Amino acid sequence: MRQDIKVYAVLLFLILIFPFVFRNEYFLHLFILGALYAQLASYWNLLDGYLGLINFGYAAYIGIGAYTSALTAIHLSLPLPICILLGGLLAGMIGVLLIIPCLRMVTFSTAIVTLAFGEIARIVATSWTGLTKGEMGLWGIPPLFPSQNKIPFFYLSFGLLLVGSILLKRLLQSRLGLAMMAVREDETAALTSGIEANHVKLLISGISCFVAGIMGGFYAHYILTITPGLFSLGYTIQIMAMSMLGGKGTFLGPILGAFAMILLGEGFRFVEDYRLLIYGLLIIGTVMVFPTGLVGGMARLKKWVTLKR
Amino acid sequence: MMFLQQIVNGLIIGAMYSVIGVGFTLIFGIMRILNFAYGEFYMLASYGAFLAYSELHLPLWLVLILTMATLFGMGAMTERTLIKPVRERTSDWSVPVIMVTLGLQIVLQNLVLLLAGGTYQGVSAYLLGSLDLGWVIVSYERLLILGVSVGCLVGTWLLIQRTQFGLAMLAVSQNREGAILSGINLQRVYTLSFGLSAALVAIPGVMLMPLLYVYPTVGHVPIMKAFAVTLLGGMGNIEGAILGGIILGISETMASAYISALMKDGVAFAFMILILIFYPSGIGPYFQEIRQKVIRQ
Repeated sequence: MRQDIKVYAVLLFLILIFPFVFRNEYFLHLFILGALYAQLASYWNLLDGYLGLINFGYAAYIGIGAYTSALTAIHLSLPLPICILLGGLLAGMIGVLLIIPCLRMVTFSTAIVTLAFGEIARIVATSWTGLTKGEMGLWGIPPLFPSQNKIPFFYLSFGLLLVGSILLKRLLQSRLGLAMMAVREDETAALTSGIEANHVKLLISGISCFVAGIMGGFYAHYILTITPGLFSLGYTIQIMAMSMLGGKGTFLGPILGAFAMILLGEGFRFVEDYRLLIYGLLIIGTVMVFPTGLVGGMARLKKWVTLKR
Repeated sequence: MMFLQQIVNGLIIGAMYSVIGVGFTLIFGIMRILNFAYGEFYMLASYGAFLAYSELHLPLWLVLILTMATLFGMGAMTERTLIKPVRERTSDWSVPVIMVTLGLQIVLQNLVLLLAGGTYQGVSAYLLGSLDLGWVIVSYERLLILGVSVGCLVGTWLLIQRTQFGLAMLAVSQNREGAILSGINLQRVYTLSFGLSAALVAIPGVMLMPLLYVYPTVGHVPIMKAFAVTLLGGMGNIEGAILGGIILGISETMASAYISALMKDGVAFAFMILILIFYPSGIGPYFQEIRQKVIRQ
């Protein structure tokens, strides 16, 4: 515990001084995206890694949050935090509603139903041009901070990540967290020990989608233009790949995976056309070489080093 | 008049969706995985057909056989080189294998994009002219599609019900441990059925090429259909997939005729989710129950 606090203090200090050391706007932007994706991957992992519920429509909730927040901000000119919160609440609500019919299905059916929902949401966002302006995208979204400077966004994104991670950790250590893992391991056994598996699924799905909506809202008020592409399966796959790369079902894994993937993705930008190809090879390679992800790989390395000593 | 025409159109495209769905559901039934690279097998078959038909001027039947054989080899090789190592490393391998197929999807798409470029390519039609029955008009090409898909569904059905290998596949999909205990070589069943699944999707890949054209991301279309059909029919249920394909085909053509062509896929998916609310395990098992009741009486 003592050591943990030291590690956190060092991390916090690094985050605080980071924008003053690296003054490059683009570099800051990458880390803001990294924090955003880290949060998303963490909460996707909450569903898949801890509850065993695969949600292939995760990007749709990000999109719903982004569009709700942007539209309420543009048309109703409410204060932005309230808009973002509304986006999150709507996404969470839809997340719960969609899981209700899935409760009676097997795991992989849930995966496809959520995937189908994601497609429906994308098609609606594309063709409801009166509201969303379709493929043209929505622009003129009011920014969260008036200045062009990226530093407040940087602090806010890492602040959100920090709060999100602490809450996630508390959730995992609570009774609900234990119930969740019991459902993942064996639903029948969990039911016989008095866990309301369906309630757990609905609640966790709601939480996970709520966070997706909030992060979508943050994204909308940071990037300032959103298109229906935000709903696409590609984003869900990216988030899923991050949480797999880092280590599914671990707390640190998705965060590490998200930063690794964003930074590696940029690192490979010099190969331009081959970038996505390498990205795909990376996913295959990781699964084949480190089935437990970066965290599992690191643990193995640590064990190996201590054994050598 | 228009209604009947839509039904016929839906039936024909639905038969092809059935073929797509059967190949996909087969792999799910046997291995409990979703093969995300399935659409890319379709895309490769389409490119193969395009090259063989328009560059080498081979006859259509030969093109069909050649692409099926090639895709069979590719599917079997994928299982051997990419999926087998993952299966051997982890005990709960469903999700890791899905990730591998996702990676393969991205790799194949971008490899083809680099090799062939992103342009739409295609041939105008395999057959010209159409059959006018008075109340409905069907082009010969669509009749050919219907014929090939029905033939292929019947062939698959016979393969599964009448051959040793088909029975082994059924056994594995019903009970993996039981199948091992009865001396079935699991590895062989996995490899061959992966090849079979790829060979099955080669047929729509060749036949639908004039309709959908071919480009590196064309696989997005069939895989979405495969997902919908598989879910509608019940995961891993082959009869259900055949039925589900036809329902999807008809509901799609209806949606594009009477609602909006843009919303076609959305309406089809919404309809699918609606059906699933009432039959959560798909319509396949329900259909089989009815059939058994009828037989008993």
